[in-house]
Amino acid sequence: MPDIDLSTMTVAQLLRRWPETVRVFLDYKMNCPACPIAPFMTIDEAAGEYGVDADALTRDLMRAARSPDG
Amino acid sequence: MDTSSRIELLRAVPLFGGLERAGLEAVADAAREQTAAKGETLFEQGDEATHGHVLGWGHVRLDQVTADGQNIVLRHMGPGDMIGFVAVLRRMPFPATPVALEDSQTLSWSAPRFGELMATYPAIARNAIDVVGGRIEELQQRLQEVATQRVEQRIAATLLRLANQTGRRVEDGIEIPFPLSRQDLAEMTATTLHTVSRTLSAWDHDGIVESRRSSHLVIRQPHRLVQIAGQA
Repeated sequence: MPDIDLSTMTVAQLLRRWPETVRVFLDYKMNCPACPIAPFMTIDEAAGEYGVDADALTRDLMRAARSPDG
Repeated sequence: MDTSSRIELLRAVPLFGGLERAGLEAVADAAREQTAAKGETLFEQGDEATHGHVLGWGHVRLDQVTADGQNIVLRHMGPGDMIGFVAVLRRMPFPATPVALEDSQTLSWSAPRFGELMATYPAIARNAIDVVGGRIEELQQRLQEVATQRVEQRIAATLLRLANQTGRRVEDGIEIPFPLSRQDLAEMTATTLHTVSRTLSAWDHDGIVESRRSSHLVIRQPHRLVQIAGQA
């Protein structure tokens, strides 16, 4: 993945662009995939709601998006 | 509206997705414009379905009166939504009445003209199936909610669906950008006005929603509402 600032994207934009990140959310026990408010939430906000470390989540999302399967 | 502004509008309408410029022009030229001031109807339940409409701007609520005189809100429609096409295609009377919640305008096509457009541009027919399929999915979801969920869950799920379809991100949450009354919510969730009022008041009090300050409800803690709906 090129240098994209994930903090400015909504969760829905991220999922649409890199569907392979679904797995990451599920591994964090986050139900963002298929959530009706995903178009309105940033990744930081979602992390906050689930009490998840936003930096770690962002790092794992970037890794999934960069993976060759993606 | 001139042809080019009509085309601009039609470009964003799912029913006409995938049409080239020439197709959009043909569709735009065949359209008729209709306006409805706030509170007026576009047509009445039971009327002959002479025209199918696409909402250009504004918001409408689709009301249906049952045989025993009870009113049900079928859904809310925003810009780009198609209204009345199922009746047009099935040659049956309109099954519901679209009421303008704010000043609204539609483009509409007569039944024969729309038939010709579909024959010339099969993409329109495929898109129509897609849109109608989406509506069926939504209705199945609502039916399941009515059959299996607690009232509070149903109200939460309904607000979330409205937010997902029409919501607008604002500073303190997600706004439902049209007037939504407690009676509307009661009819959409198959419960009483009293129950909706009690539930919303409790959510207002807890800061989950803001429903009193204006006619546009704001979901202030969307994630909390997702939890109440049982979706997180």
